[in-house]
Amino acid sequence: MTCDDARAAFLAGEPTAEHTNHLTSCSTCKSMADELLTMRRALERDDVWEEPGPDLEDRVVTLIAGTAPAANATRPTAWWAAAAAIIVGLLVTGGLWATLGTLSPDWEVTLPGTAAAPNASGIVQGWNDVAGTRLRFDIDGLEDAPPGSVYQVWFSREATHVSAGTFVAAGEIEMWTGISRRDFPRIWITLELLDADESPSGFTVMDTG
Amino acid sequence: MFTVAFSSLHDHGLAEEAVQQTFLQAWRAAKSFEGGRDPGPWLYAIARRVAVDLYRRERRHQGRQPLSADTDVAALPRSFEQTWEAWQIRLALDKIPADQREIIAATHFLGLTHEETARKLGLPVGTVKSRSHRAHRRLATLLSHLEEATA
Repeated sequence: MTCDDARAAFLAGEPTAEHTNHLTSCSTCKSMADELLTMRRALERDDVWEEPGPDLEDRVVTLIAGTAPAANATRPTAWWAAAAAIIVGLLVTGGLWATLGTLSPDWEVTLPGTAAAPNASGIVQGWNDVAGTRLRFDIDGLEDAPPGSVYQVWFSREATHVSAGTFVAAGEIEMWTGISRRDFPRIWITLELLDADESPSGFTVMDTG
Repeated sequence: MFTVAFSSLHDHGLAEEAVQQTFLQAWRAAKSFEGGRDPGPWLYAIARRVAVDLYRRERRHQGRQPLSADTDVAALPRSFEQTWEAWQIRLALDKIPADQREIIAATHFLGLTHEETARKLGLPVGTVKSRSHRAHRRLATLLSHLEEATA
């Protein structure tokens, strides 16, 4: 069990005896106990979930578009009005990640662990683009790759395999690939030694099948 | 920024006004901001100060005793002490996929069970449980920096 497992169960309000034992015996988790409780209570507060009106961003842009920034008062209005619109667009509701996170993916598939990694589970989300596909993996329960090795993501159509990238630890992982899942529907992950062999090792840990 | 303002003022219109003033002040003070730094804490500080100013203004308009500088902190409502938590949790929630965030909203804010959440969202209970697990795991990871804050 990791600290994040125990903290997640506490935040969910569903800690088992094992989680509670960890939270009360681990020095780092114990030092965070008050903060975790505060955060769990914060999730129930209406102010955390309240959303601004849909036109707030436009109103902010309009407001600052009529005001020159102190350092660049002589620059043409259109230039900094456009910059303001971009900055406000990214920040008013929480930042670039928030913008990415709230756009619905074009597709989503579950990615179960194989017999080699039975505790692993995850989902893959994809955003189709003219340049390829933006991918977001959310993977739990997969051990860190041993030293000298990496996990490698593959997209396949029959015997044709295209690598989409590598990673070493589970969690939320972003990748890009130049192909479409329509053409390469199978997504799978192998453990690969860092060597000259570029073909899949066959040691498959997760697979959409 | 809206969350910071709303958690302080608990008024939708005032909070939106605070967001506008925050960005206006940030825009005017952009020269003092060091490039390469995370703008979040800087904007948070501006937003909180703006919210305090708006609170004082509203208090004056209501004909109530103006707050002096030395009694400001003690006299501010408790909501002003909770803006940092609200901001931190909102930042974390914004980094979670929308389908997982709606599960957290249903179970924590609405207080629904997994079964009730499944019925409300039209999802299998198993899907709700797995998304809930992933969402809380992600939240725990995103909030792990609090370890440093409390150390």
